[in-house]
Amino acid sequence: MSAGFMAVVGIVRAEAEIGKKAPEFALMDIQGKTHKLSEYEGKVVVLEWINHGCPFVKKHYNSGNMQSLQKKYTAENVVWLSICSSAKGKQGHMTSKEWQKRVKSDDSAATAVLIDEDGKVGRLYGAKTTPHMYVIDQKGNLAYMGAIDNKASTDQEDIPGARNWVSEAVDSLLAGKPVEVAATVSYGCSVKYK
Amino acid sequence: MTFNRFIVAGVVVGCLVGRFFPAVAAPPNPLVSEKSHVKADLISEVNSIQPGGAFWAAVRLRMSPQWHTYWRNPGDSGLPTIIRWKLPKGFVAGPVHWPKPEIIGEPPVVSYGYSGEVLLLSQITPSTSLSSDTPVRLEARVDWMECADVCVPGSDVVSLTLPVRQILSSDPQRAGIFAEARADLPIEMEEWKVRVFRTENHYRLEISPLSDRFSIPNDAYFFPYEQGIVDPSKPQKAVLTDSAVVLQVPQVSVSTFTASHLNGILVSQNGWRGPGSEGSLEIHAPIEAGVDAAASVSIALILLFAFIGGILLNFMPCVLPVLGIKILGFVKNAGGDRGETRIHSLLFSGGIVVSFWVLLGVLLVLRFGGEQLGWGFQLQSPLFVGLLGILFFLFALNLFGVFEIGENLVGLGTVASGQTGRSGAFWGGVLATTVATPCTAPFMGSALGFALAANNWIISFSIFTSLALGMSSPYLVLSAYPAFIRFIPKPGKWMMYLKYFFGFLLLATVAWLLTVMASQVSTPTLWKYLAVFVPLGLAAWVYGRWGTVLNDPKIRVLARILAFSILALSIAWISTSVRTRDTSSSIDPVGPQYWEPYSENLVNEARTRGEPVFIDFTATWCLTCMVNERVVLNTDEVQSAFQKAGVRLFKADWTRYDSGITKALAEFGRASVPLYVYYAPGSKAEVLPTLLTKSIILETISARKGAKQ
Repeated sequence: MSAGFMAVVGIVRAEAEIGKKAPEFALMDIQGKTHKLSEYEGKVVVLEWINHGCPFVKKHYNSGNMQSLQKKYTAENVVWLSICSSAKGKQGHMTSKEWQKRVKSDDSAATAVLIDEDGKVGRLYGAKTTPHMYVIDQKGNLAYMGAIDNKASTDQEDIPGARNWVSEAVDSLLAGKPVEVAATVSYGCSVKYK
Repeated sequence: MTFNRFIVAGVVVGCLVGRFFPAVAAPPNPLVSEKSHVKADLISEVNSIQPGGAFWAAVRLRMSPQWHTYWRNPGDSGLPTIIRWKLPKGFVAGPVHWPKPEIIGEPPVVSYGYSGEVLLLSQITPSTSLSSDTPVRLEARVDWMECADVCVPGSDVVSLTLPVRQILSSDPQRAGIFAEARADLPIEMEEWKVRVFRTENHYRLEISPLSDRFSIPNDAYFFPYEQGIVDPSKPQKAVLTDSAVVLQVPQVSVSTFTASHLNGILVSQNGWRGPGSEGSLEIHAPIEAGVDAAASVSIALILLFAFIGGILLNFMPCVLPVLGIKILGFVKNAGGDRGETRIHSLLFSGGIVVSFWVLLGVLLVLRFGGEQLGWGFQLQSPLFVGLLGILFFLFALNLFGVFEIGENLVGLGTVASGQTGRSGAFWGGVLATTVATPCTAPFMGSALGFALAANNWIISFSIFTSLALGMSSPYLVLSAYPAFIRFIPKPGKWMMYLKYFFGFLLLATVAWLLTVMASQVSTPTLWKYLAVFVPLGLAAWVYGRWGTVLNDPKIRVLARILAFSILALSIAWISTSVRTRDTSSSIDPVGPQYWEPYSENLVNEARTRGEPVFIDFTATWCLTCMVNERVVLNTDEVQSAFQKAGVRLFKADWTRYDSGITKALAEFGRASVPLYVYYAPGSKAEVLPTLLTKSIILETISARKGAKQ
């Protein structure tokens, strides 16, 4: 009954669960091309919820940390998707042109930047913060969800000494080993949903 | 004039120096902006410091409208405010005391924090040796996250200088501000009892006053101290009962550990110490296993489950022979009095219902006394198993015709031979229930678990009654429509063959009970038990040969005395010699399959390491369990699938009394075996059906189930 009510009101229930198939989605990127999660089956996929106005995202971009992760793993055939669920008029929302400029100036090596204006995919995955990271294995099952590392702060100085959960998860999957830490509490600013 | 200029210059230089070299050296966070929306300052309740005299100080944050800072647990987003003290030598600052927070934001992102103004209090204990000449400078570096619709990190160094005096003096205005802030701090009270139960998706908090002085609050909200246990973005529902307020607090959807305690504050509009008093109550409550309270809405569903389970129980291998024998009895009397048949069926059903009540009564009494028992508990006692074995053996002999029980005796044999006898009908029902206990039918497990976990004995008895009625339903139907007997073929030789068939079925059951005993007692004891079957067979034969009405009365009496003495001696012999052996590893490990003995610690360890876990709650006396293990779990196909997926296999053997396993069962709302639980990495438990198939296991492991596209 509550599911019906929620469907009417347009509320999407979070369906991401560790060990289960990651929910399918189809989003357009900043170049106008549509990406479906299912087309990446067979590869490790990283989802990175992003909002450049958020100081926690700035911590990882100003320091070059996020870009180096993107570079390292896309070179190993991992698919890295940055997803922006900011609604129109809210922080983090940009036009495609602005995004393209930003991707260039940041030197982002993400495979694609996907636009989720109505927040459907964010809510489907239960994305609460920026950044909020998800790692999907080669079979399409969710292998990690949560924080990017174990130091919740906006301070760049905290990056070198921190355990990076995303690196650990992706490295494990690429080596065919089980992921040791499958879920953590994410930190960041709230996703600016509609 | 020049002198003044020097002073001014000195002051200016001093200020400039102070600006660029703050006393608390900190690497500046480049993201902290100059234009902060939060002003921080340090205030104290006292005007002067007394050596050794503890006093309250506070970091006061004044936030611009729309802007907020965060509580010690920020919730879904944000960061808590951090205070780093720089105090003179010998000074000690206590921990930060946080006033109760507000809820910020809306689903799916909800946080806990403050708006307007907040005082973060700390108690400072000054050094005991202070000279009253030098004023004391207290300093703190405060880092916070300030957010409106966007977030900016904030940071400032705040300080306060106070003179040293022999007496404490406080500013009344200041005292007022501090008193107000203290009213928002959490209090701990013994007069409030808070119990926390874990249900499937929630924590159920039962909050009740232990004293008449306090009335149940109209509302309550739980703010947890730790992240990763409670989901801030889902609503909490408070329901008032006449003795408590019951609060349903949602669990986080992804958990990698099982929290043992709920630590946090309960906030209510009503004061916890009476009207107008503090609204924040601190709790540190252990989390107990609980049955889903939402099930109280579907108690009708549970009763239905119990009823269906009862019907299905008739088809479980334990009960099927009894069903068959009973039908034989009906057939024998088919030509006879319809009314009598009806009465017999009712009595039989009555026997079943009363037995279930007795079982439940014994269970409840023992559990109330602290025993961790569940369904089938009587089979955890090898003595009971032994006596049951003897009973079945005698029955089989009766069915083979070794002896017959006359009508003038209140005999259980009247059921076996299918003869009439009203008391026999009743006891037949008792027997049927006794025989049913090793088996758990589908649907029964959850109904049983609910019945035994429910705090309300009326509910427990209703569920057991429903179960009993379900089990009696074939007989009740027969009693209502005796005409159904028409569908059974007319009496004839086939009835004898059917009797022999059931006799052998009973012997097979005895053999199985022997294997159960073997895992409960030592080998010498088992031999002692087996030895008893010889004199028993003899007693049965003596009774059958010479104890019937066909013989001389004197011989009859002698024979009966002999037979019963042997029986009595055998039972006494068994009672004294059958004891559970002490060694813990009585269960013979199941071959080369990789089952580890169940241990809560090992399971948690495996889960933290991200390994999938499968737990088989089983017992040797549980037929359904044995079937599932042989036909599904220990087959090569399933075992290799488990191995490939790296699943850790745990066997929780409940053959003998084990309070740890009983508790673990209760966590899942069960009080019987079998129970099959699968933990995918990083996930909550998934309970599998009572009757397993290979595809159920294979599907569960491969986690392709439940994917929504």
